[in-house]
Amino acid sequence: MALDTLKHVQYIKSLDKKTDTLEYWMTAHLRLNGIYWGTTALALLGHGDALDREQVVEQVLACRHSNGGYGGNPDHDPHMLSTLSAIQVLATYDALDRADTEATAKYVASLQQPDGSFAGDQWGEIDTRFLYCGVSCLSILGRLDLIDVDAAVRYLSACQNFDGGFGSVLGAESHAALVFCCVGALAILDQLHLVDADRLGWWLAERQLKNGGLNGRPEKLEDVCYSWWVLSSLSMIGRLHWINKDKLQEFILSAQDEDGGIADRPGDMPDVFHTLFGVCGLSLLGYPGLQPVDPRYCMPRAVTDRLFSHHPRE
Amino acid sequence: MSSFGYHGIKRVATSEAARAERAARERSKIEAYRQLCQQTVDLRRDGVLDADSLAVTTALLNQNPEFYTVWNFRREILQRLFADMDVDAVQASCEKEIKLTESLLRVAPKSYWVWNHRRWTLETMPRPSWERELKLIGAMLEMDARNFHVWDYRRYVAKSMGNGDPKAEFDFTTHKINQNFSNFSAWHYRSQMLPKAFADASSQQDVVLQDFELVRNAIYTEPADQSAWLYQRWLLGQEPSLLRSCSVYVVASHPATDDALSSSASAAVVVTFPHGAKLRRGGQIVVTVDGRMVAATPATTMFGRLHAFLLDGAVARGSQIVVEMAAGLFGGNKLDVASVGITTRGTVGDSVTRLEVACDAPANASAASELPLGGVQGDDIWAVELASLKELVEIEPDSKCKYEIA
Repeated sequence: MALDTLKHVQYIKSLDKKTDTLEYWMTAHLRLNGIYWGTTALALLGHGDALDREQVVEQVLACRHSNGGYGGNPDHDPHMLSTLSAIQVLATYDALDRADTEATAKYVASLQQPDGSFAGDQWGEIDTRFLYCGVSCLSILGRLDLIDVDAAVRYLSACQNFDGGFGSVLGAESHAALVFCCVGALAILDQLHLVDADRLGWWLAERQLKNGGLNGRPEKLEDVCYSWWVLSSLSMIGRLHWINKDKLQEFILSAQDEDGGIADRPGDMPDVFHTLFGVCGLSLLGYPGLQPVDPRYCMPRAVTDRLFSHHPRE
Repeated sequence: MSSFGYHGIKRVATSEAARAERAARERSKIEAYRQLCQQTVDLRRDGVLDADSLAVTTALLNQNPEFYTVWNFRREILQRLFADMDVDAVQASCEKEIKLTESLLRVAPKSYWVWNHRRWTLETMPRPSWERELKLIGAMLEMDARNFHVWDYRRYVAKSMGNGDPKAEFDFTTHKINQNFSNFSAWHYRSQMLPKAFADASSQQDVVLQDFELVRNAIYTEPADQSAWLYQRWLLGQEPSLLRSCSVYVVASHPATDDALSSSASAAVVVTFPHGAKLRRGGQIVVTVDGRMVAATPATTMFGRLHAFLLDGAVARGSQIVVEMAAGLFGGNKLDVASVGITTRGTVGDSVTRLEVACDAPANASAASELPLGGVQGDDIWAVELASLKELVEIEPDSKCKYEIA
């Protein structure tokens, strides 16, 4: 089975035209994340010019709040999750100069807590997802100096469980998506030596099931999105070869929809989230024709290379 | 862009006609939903923080509990309203939030935003009932025993109750594990609660030993299940008498009809450490069988606690085996034994043989006095575990434990 690149490009381009579905409106709060998932998938598929650049940049800027944060949609409140997506999309389209990034950096830094963790917004939910968002965002903006990096690293280390994985907060069960967040943040901060790589690598490799797909926790079902969370983590700790690549590739390809898009598993409805993470997984597996993805940032390598030639990564 | 975050929604082929028909059906719903959204945005922009606005957010959140901005608006309204209320009125109002979030959690049990609002309510209300939260958690875990939102919430509730009752939390994990061995969320929580529920060393050791039995039952019931294996690894690091010691075993597999080993791969020396211990690069143990040196190849490390060396050549039952480990062969942060050499010896028996330390380590080395020389019950855990794993390999040749001992 082969990757049907053109159909996926068409699928992503069609997403913004589904305004006659209730679902389009019910997911309005995820619009900015959706733009990130879609545009990143297009870039990795080698079709970074499939959408109008100016239109994309304007859509992102319309979600900007006066405090420098970004909401999921215009009129939606600023939040870490949408702020990172905004900065990632602007970086990919080389449009960071279009917004006051200094205000954004200050907004993000203001959400760090004394123990090093990050809140998602002013309401104070704590999660390692937000710590990742903060570190990734400030790294892209070259402003990691605004936060207490040592405290963040201490918090991340404390989240490592006896099985080698990481969870959402101190004491939480290991979960592959949060392993990505914690290992990604440690990789960006150049602190990967704190990870017990053999133990974590073993836990991650155990995510692969007989059908080749990966799950996110022990005794759970496989899902294409873990092709990214698990694989990027294995890649960052240098143990990508600890899983069966051929079987995983076959699993991802079998989750392609005949009308474009990739689903969580074969036979299910496709969506842009799983389309991106399926494509990212294939990119890490070295699938021919795909652009390389940066396992730390979930952005095209060409973009992060360009970014960090401007300012050294801290 | 729409269409994301589907999980497990079966694809249905839709023709253009069917799509148009659905769009026609949805048109009025979309219209009503968008009007409600616009009304909410307008009220927010105009700063209308009153009971009518609250009702609008209730209507919208009942349709879409994921609309996080509306939860934020709702809290702003409540904060404003609470400013003019007495304590009982605030309590009554918060009770309504408890009811709303509970009904939404039943349809959206993985919605971060709903859980957040419930926490905010509990932290805001004058008289929160944490016991009621434990009941909710129990009911939610009956619906989905692995929902990590609920397990995280349980830790939050226990902490809010002044760290609650660790023994009750430990017993709760027993209950969930007895319902289903495969619930790693419960095993994970158990590893956190065990040391808190059984603080003194002797009762803790008793429970650890009981849990080895629980794990064995789980593994025999469902050998392919990872949950119990993971917990077993944690237990192996907990057994208190192991915290000071290193133990050496010979694992041999004698064919039923022959008293000599025919396959070189089926004999191994296993060195166990309670803490992470790394074999020095290129490091070798020296194995002598009946006075003859036998090559030993390092095979694998499990968490730095269990090192296996595969023996090359036959080892007959009754052979005298001597295993020598040079000082500094193993290194590790908390490992006294790294500084002294150890020699162990014994007579190869059936399956697993624990070798005795020959005590030719320097007498002044503190580690030497702490090496396991006696028959402390806990010291035999490794032998028991290895023997039971070996038995399982024979019953279930394809089970995971092959990798644990090989």
